[in-house]
Amino acid sequence: MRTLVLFVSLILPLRIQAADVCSLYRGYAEVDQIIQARVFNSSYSFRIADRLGSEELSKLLGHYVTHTTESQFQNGLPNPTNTVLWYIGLSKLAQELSAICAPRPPQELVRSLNPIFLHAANAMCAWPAQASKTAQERLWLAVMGYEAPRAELEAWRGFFNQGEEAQAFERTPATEMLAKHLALIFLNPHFLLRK
Amino acid sequence: MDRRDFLRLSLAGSAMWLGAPFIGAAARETQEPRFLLQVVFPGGLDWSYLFDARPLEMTKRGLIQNYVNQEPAPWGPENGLKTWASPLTNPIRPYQNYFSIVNGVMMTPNFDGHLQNLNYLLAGNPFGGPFFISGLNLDKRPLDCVHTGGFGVDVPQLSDLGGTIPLDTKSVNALSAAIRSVPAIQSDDKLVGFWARRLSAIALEGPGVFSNGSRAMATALSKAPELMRLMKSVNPQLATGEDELGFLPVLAEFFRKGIAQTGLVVFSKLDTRIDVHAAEAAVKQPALYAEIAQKIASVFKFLRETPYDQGRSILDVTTVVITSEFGRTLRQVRRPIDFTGTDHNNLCNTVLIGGRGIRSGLVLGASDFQSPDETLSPAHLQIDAGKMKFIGRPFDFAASAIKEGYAPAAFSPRDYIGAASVINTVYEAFGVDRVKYWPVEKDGPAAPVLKGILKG
Repeated sequence: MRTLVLFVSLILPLRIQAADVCSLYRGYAEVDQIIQARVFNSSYSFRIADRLGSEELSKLLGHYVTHTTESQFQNGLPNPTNTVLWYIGLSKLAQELSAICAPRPPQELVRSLNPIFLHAANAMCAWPAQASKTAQERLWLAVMGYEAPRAELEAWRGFFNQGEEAQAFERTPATEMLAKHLALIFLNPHFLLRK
Repeated sequence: MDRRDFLRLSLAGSAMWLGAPFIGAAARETQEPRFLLQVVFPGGLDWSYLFDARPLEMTKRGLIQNYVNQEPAPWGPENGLKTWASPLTNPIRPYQNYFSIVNGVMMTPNFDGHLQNLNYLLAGNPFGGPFFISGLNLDKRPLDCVHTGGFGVDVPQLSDLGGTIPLDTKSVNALSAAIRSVPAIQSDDKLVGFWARRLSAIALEGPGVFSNGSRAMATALSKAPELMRLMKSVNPQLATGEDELGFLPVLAEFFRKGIAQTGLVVFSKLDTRIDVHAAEAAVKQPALYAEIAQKIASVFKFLRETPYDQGRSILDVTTVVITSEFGRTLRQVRRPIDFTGTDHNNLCNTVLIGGRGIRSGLVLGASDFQSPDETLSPAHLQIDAGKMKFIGRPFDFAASAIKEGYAPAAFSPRDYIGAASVINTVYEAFGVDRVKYWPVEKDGPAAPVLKGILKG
């Protein structure tokens, strides 16, 4: 683990220079739409601003500003503040969604979810049984779609099934595990960054 | 990258991820604190209502509008260069020894639009570019710059704003509440570790756009634990009122807590009131500039009276730069002098600069056209044949003095104090490598530093 972190950290000091072309965060409006389409059904209107408790803060995630005849996308370059805000908003969402694995899942939540997501997420409630492991890919595809390469799915699945923590995860309740699975999909750059 | 660079990056990188909060704090304890506050009044200030005023005789002769109708008073040290200050600056007089005035500052000589000059002021290029704060030699803090007030009608085209966070009195309270609403990101958390590893793995896939984005996320994530920890210690009640001035206590707290090192305060709500092309708006300037003078006084009062630590005020540790994107013309063509608006003057601006590293109480540089009968230089007439504008007086950078009696035959930006010299002076105060200095003109050498206002 330590070696990995050391290896990983090699790239961190390389500051993104102005001359670099850098993927920006998609912004709150686009991510709201993606989550709305892939997780919820039309009876519910998803807004990350509600998880942040502020309309103003959602603008820090990236948004369009129109001045006279020009539109500019602002605040999309990843920085510590918007990264923390994505973490806060999406961790809360993952936590909320994981309630479907509770002994008595809130019916309002269940009714708000789209059938594909609900089917995949429900299967995860069997954790750590094999059925839930089989359902991991369905959950990934329901949320991520085909936006990430297969290697990302394998890395994500490997973290839960074969990583250093796999044994500890086997003893972790399904609700908590569903939240972890979802959080790591939402926070993946293939989900959050523009291509 | 050679082996030495690789090892250096490896060590720096591992330190950054594994111990950034601790190393950052230790570095701050041993290094002298230094901050930058830039205050911008967008719209194009008419400095003749503040620190570059003219005698009423010039108004009587139909040369410059003046709706105050009072004679200006001298401003400056006893044994040094003086300028004429409008009586509207009286609220600032108690703080006159907290800053110096740089008059006759040329902006971008070839463009007189708001956007091009805002771009030039903040990026050194009329077409935009990296925000100049990104060139500062900043310490490792979670945020490079906190920007409040938004921008006015024109939004400068700035890149490399990754470390600049727009906040206001409302959003800073919301941010504080949001951060308190979840457990902090811990760098030893397994999930966070996996997230960081994926970001890094994608970043290492190549130099592409997406890899760069992932790298930016990884860098941001490495600073997130410290940001959350420090933000939780900020008193959310510090932000008061809607005005940009109400945000200053937050900025001071961000400086004290080590959250950010620079601040950009833009009084954007004044933009359209400042940009007085219409005579109907121009006649209201006495009230407007009384308000602006009060804001400037409030900035210095706050910075002086707010402690950074037991022995120093925020002003002692902060370099302060106050300006606009340009000045204004003396009048408009074919308008009566007692009912005229003004247009943009990109050839002459004023900068107030004070605080850490800066000698205060001085006047440096001057504009021309100080009296109705002054003979303007051929260089002036070359770029302002209608005598509608002030321009700077040629400046001797080695002697830190105006070149008395020198009337250049042709215009060259190298003869004048330019915004690039002001920025390079700030860069010098921050110990920035000279290769980053702004050029005096396109493809020219670095603009000379204003040594006369630098301490030490």
